Amino acid sequence: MKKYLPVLFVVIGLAVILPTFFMSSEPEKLQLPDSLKGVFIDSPPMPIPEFTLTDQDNKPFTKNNLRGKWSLVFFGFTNCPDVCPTSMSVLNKVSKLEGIPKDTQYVFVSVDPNRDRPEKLKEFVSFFNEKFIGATGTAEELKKFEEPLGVIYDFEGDTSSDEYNVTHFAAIYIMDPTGNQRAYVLPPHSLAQVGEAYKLIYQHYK
Amino acid sequence: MRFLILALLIFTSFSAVSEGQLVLENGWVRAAPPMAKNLAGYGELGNNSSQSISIVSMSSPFFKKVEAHKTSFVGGMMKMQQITNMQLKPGVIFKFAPGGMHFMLMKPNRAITENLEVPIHLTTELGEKYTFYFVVKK
Repeated sequence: MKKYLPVLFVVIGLAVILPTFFMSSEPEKLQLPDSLKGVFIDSPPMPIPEFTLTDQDNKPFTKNNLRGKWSLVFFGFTNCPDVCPTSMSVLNKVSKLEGIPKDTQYVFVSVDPNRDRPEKLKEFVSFFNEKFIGATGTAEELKKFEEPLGVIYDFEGDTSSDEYNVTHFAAIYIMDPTGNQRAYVLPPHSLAQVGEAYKLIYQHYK
Repeated sequence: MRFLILALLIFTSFSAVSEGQLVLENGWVRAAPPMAKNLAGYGELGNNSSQSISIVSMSSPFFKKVEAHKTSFVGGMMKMQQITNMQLKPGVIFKFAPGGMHFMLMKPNRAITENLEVPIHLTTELGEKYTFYFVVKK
């Protein structure tokens, strides 16, 4: 009997460890239909470090704000006339769709904190939807959030004037309730593309 | 005789409309928050004439500056560039649409509210002036 003891331990050990391993494991990667272009899924999710930004009401906006619910995040600047308003208006339409969680957060992060003060952010985001969140912060804090997501941007023109432009990576990020990146959707954005991608990703990974 | 003159007048006025003409269809400006310093205008600008038309300047009484811009995406990176050579060959239609070409309307001097009709003047190389109206909508 004694010589079987180690085997018994191994069997009991496996019986305890294996289920927890499978429970915490990543579901099989979702295969999206070919018709959905420009959607990239992270499997497992891309980890985002802790960061502290300021929201449109001058309150801190941290990684904790992303925990516990799904979020759709877009980076841009409020002086942007074409792409940012188009994507924001797509997000507003997505927020009204069936089949997605009603407590989804929609977050606009400005990469232009010099011009986009909280009050300006508030006016901008609430124009598209009263419930949308606007956030920005110091270059250092923005970097913590942006770098793992691959958001790159560049200021063009005289930044001491008011007329410079910001060239930026303009994807919409789908963040899961752990606050990490589950997918991103490349521009140009449409309701059909972002809405369908979010629905399928949420249903698969919820 | 009177009928002939009338017919001739009608004919020449019609041909004047269809010759040397720029046309704009579905002109609209995307409504923006009151603080917005830049807005974008869209529509289809066509050349109905038998000759090339070059647009050399554009303006609007509601904005300090108007320029034609093109947004492009390279691997998800958004880039905006001014279109300096705006030449429309006969029969060509430039589609100004979100995420592509747009009329960049800079520094409004009045409130740009929904349903407002924004006039935009285009001047051609030959000095012809056109005014098109763009309706503000969400």
